[in-house]
Amino acid sequence: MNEQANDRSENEMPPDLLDKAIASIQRQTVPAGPSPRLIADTLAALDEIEQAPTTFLLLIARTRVMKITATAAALLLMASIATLLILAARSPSSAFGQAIKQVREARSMSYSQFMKMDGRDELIVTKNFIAEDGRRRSEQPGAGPVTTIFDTNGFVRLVLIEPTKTALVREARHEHAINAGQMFLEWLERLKKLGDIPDKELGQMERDGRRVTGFVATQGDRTFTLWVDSTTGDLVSIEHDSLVNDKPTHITMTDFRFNERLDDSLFSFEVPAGFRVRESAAKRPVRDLLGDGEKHIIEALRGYTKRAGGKFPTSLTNWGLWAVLFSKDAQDDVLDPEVERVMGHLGAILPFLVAMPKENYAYRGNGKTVDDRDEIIFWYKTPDGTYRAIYGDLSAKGISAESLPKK
Amino acid sequence: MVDWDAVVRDHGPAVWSCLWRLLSDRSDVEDCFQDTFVAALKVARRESVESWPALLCRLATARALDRLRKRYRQGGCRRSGDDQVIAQDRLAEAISTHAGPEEHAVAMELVVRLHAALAQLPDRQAEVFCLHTISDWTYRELGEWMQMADSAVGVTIHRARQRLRTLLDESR
Repeated sequence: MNEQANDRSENEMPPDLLDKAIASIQRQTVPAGPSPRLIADTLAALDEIEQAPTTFLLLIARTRVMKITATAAALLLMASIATLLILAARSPSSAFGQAIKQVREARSMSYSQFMKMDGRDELIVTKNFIAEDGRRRSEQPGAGPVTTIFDTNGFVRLVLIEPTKTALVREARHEHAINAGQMFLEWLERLKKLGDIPDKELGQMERDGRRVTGFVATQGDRTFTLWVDSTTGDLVSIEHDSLVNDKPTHITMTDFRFNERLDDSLFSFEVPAGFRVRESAAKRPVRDLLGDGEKHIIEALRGYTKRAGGKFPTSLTNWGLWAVLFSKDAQDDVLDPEVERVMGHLGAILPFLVAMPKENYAYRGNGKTVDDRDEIIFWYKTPDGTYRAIYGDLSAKGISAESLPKK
Repeated sequence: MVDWDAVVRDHGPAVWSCLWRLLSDRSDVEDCFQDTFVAALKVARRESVESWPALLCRLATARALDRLRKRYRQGGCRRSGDDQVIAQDRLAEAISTHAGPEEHAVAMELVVRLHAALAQLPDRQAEVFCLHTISDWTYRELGEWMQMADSAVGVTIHRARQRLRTLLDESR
């Protein structure tokens, strides 16, 4: 199966010179062959090789063998000791340690990243720059390019869409909120915590014209494969698996440059000349989002409990449960409008939750029903420091911190 | 015991086609054809061959790339020298007869330039690129054969394409 279209789709550009050259090769008319003469000559050559002797025996006196063996063993022992001493300074594990040290001690960094999602052959390619203060720039080539700039807390602050000369500007957000930028660099934090000794060495191979040695190391639930230049000790690539948009994704990072001087303009939040500013929906005040969130939870839970005999779901974010329940109503895979409405509210819950620190909310509906009218099903802390709760009868009101359910 | 008669007759046409696409020169293709099956014999002596088409395609690609490197080391990367003239004559026969004169010339030039560019790629990168782009191997097939992750295959092909684009631009 030819994935050439997929290769091109990573850039989504019209056929270029390379594509045209490939097409020219593929369209070549291949003359008939091989000729009977060529086949005969080939078979003759193979027959000649098959007939040639491939083994021989060396016969020497037994005593001579034993003397040679003893001497060889002694020499081998001395050579081994010498080799071990020499290699200790250049051992594979020290090559690994050196590579981790490069990452740990880097003040700034740039690298290329290739993401491949399960079931899809095209790669998502980005070029990433990380400044000493943690700001990051991510450039995605292709029909774009599209450039995204993140602040020191990992929040998106500026998106530049080149083809339309459009800039999306986003305000700074609460530094403790979960954000995609922080999650994006989570691999880096885990890598820095790796020890100097790998879990496993993979041996050597050739990659892009370089001789590299591979190592595997695990930090928590993340396993990294590092490829290090066997000659220079430079880090060549890092591979690991992650979830992107809930899809298993294999990520490869290469072309590392450490401590290069990165111009501050790469990370500027200023809109460049020639770009039109388009307001991003994410600019809406956090308070607005939170107000909507309460409404979304109530409506989603209302829809769920109607279908579940009054029971609340075990989770607000495990959509699998909801999907199973609501699919029972689907006829020929078509959902009725009411179900679609409820699912819409469900989809709006996650952004509401991720906008808050985890300790600022809790869902307590597991095991409860609508008959538990006075039980708190969900509570959260508002931006102004007060608390609100949703009850079993799906009413909502403000509560004091002392009224919060104990864990 | 391998029935080489059957192997060469059954798989010879595919090997021939693979070699022709990469070399476009009859004498080079014939040499590499034999080399491919000799290499296959050596492999078959060491291990049991699960897939003859896959093995032969890979061996043929590797030999063709070696021959391209030799050709362009001898003849240079520019369109000059007897080797290049002969190659172009062969190409003139090979390019689709439906193309008009201008298209014919453009296609011929692109093929020669791509061959020259392939000769400059690192061995493994060139092999992966050719097997995927010209012989239609999937990322998975390449990964299994070369003991690389699918994503590593993708990265290798991406890099090969980047480098080839640069080389093609430089050779204008």
